[in-house]
Amino acid sequence: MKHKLKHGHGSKQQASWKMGVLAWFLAGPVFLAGGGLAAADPWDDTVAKGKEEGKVVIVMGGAASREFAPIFPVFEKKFGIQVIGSSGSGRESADRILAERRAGIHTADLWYGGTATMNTRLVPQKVLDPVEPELILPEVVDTSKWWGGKRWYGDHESKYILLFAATPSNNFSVNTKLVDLNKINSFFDLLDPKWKGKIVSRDPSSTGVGLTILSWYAHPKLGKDFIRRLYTEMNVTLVRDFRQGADWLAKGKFAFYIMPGRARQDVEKLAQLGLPVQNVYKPLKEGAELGVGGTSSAAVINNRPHPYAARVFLNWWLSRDGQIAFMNAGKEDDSMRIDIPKDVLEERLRRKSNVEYIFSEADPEIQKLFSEAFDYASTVLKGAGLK
Amino acid sequence: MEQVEPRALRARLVWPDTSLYIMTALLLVLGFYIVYPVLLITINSFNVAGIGAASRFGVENWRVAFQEPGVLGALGNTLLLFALYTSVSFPVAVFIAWTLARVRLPFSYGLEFMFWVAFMIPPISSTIGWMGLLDPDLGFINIGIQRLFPSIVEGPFNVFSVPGIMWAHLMTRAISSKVMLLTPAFRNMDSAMEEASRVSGASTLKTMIKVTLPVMVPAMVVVFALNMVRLFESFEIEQLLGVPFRFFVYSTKILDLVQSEPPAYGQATALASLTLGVIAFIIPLQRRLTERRQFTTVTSKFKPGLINIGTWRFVVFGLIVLLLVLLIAAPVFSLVLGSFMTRSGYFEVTPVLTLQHWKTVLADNLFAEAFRNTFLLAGTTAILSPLLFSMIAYVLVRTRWAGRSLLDSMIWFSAVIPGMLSGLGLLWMFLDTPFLKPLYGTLWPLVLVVILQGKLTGVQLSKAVFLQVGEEMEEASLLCGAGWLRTYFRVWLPLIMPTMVLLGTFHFVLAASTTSSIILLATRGTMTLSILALEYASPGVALREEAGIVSLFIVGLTVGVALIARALGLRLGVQHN
Repeated sequence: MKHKLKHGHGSKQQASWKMGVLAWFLAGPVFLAGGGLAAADPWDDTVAKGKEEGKVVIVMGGAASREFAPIFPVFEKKFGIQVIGSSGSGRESADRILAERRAGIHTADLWYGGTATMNTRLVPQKVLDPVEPELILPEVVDTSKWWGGKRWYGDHESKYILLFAATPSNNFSVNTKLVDLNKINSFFDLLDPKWKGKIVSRDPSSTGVGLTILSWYAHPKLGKDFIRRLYTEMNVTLVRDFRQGADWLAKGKFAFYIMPGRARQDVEKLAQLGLPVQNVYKPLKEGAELGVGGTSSAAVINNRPHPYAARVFLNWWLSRDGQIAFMNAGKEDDSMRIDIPKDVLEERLRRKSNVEYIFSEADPEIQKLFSEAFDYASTVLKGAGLK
Repeated sequence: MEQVEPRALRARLVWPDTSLYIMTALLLVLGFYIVYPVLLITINSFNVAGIGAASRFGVENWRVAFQEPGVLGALGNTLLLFALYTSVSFPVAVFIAWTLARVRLPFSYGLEFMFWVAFMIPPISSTIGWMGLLDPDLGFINIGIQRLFPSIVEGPFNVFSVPGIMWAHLMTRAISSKVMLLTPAFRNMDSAMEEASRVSGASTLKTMIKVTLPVMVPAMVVVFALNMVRLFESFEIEQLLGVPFRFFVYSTKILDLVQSEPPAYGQATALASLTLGVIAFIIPLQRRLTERRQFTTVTSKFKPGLINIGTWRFVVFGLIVLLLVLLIAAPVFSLVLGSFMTRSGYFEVTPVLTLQHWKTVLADNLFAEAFRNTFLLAGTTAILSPLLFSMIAYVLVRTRWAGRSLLDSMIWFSAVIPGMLSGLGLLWMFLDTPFLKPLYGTLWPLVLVVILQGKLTGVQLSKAVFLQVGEEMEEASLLCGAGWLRTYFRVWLPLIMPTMVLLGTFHFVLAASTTSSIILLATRGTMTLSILALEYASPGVALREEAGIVSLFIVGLTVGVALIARALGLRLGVQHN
């Protein structure tokens, strides 16, 4: 018995010692990391700090503020961080932000808006921080969940303006009673003399029209010649008021409405009311194009007052949950995530896997041509007496 | 040696007059708020560095701006349009103002108020309304005529033309603003002068031309000058009606530069500076016309009275009512009906009518806050502006203090930069000034901006009225021992009350409908109804019917306030029973 106990006691000591070493190897790294008993999750830590900050301020203009208004409460409820949007156009928002920063005031964390203002005013004045370091959620970091296996950027350094949605777009609309869409298979069909005087256009060189002019300017098969011929040979009528163009299209005063920009939403509304108008999304001979709307890009503002709250929002926004909410809210932009259902989007608005798209806004070389394209458009319009 | 008491010694020292302190304070304070933003914008126009680059100064922006093709043509178009609509609106407005104020006419006060209502309607709403009626292909009037007379293949009216733009100006504020501003001045006319003329054998028309109008010169010159100074601000009508047929005016050129990508503020400022030339012409003209003569019409022997024109009054009444129908019916019809239509102007959709737009606006959690902000902003402006500007006008007209010319010129100078640019200057002013910076993000900058926005009209109109009132009443008050403040509130204010009410209403309308000067200072929490309407109408939101509803609320609010103000003001002003 004594022998047995002596033998058993020795075995227990050895077992205890080994357990202690094993426990040390398991727990040691945790203690060394300062995490206490469990390893700290960067995401949880970020969320906690974001909650302490209490709010995230996003420059997104009135349109996006309204479009995304149903989404914000979802985020606020989940994370306890208030979302504050802003008013005004991209130009006004840029004026405000730049003036505030000059005075040492930093009010905004993120910028959601059109890439034109970001590229022409924010990037050159070093207002933005790179986006990649802010992305920490595994499902956001994992590029296999993104279209093309990568994240897409809309600035020439490919790091400041993240494009999280892109939709097929040819940037013109038609009156379906006057135009047989089956006969429109090329951009050059717009130059058919029978359409002379039947085209209305928004001013391509002004804000709020999007980057159509850049994509046409840099397009290998369109370029300067197409733009020049369109505005000098076709007796185009220019409108500054977006709705005026849509109404004239619907009432048959014009057959084509080019460069509608955000007014394509107005055309959609008219189509839903049964009026003979349609935004043209089908791929044309010169290539299918992808366009980024005014609410499909995001940037991170440097010296932001709520860095953790901003990081939480951005990562959530780009997550499956966030992108599903985004698509459900607008129903007009195709998320770059490929692991979410897209049923909420009409088929014609979804990117097709068997189509090769020209994506000008994500091409760094084309980004450099921003000012040149706008200046060229302005020169052509003035030469044609349109401006 | 003479012993001098300390008190006497102090009396021998030359202490500056109180007037010097007041004038210095006025020049410094107003100079800062008026001139500083203009200077900031102007200095920026000489910064020719690229975006993001270190500042570099030169005249490139100015050279490029004035060498732009089409600038001279646009300037010519602006002057042509101004000449066209002013040559019609001015005499018509003068005649109407004279009729409403000097002639025994049924419901003259009510008719005058309807011109105020016409003024309150946003020009863009009126223009859109007339587009719906006079579009050559789609306008209801043209379509109706073609259906009635099938031989007419083309609609006779085309709103997208120079006459069309002129018509739009006349139907928006060109006539209503002048009637609104001139009628109180005409009402301050001593009927004894007119009676003397008629007793001498002159007809009513001759009396009006030879007696009444010459005495009204200060008021008419001010109204004309105020219109002229705004020459390069008007762009909404020309944007909608002129651009489609390639007719450009100077203000659309400025707007083009502001809205280009990136905005060319430097060049826009250079073009806007042409207003200085207009001001340089107006200031001496105004002084020459008003400083050489006496324009007193209200004295202690003031005799109120109206002219009887017999049955002609019904003809005149009918014509004025017809004009008011044109001024008010089209835009109100367009606004009200449009607000209940699924899509304004479309009778072919199903359903044609809906309450959804009203529900959208009333359910918008920004609407209530915007309404409250607008009421606070406009209400504060309406009360403070007339008082402040009438006191400044008093200094300019009724005193001989040194510095008056400088003060007057400074107030005119503020009109150099149009609203589409001044907002930027004001933003920079608030952020760059240590004692103003803490106000940023609150409602206070907006209050300050909208109060000062009406300074030109407020001061100049008040000046015109002060020129009409004789000195003896003020002298009598001072002789009786009343101080200046007591005299101002007990003698001056009742005499100029109709103008004060007018200015209060005018500033209320201005404050409630202003956007460009406050949009950069407004936040989501300090949004006003006008900014909310702008947001609704923007391309990304595309809720024009909702924007129209918000405009209706603005009009309703201003009409309500104006009714109350008029009721109070008319009781206190000069009576003409």
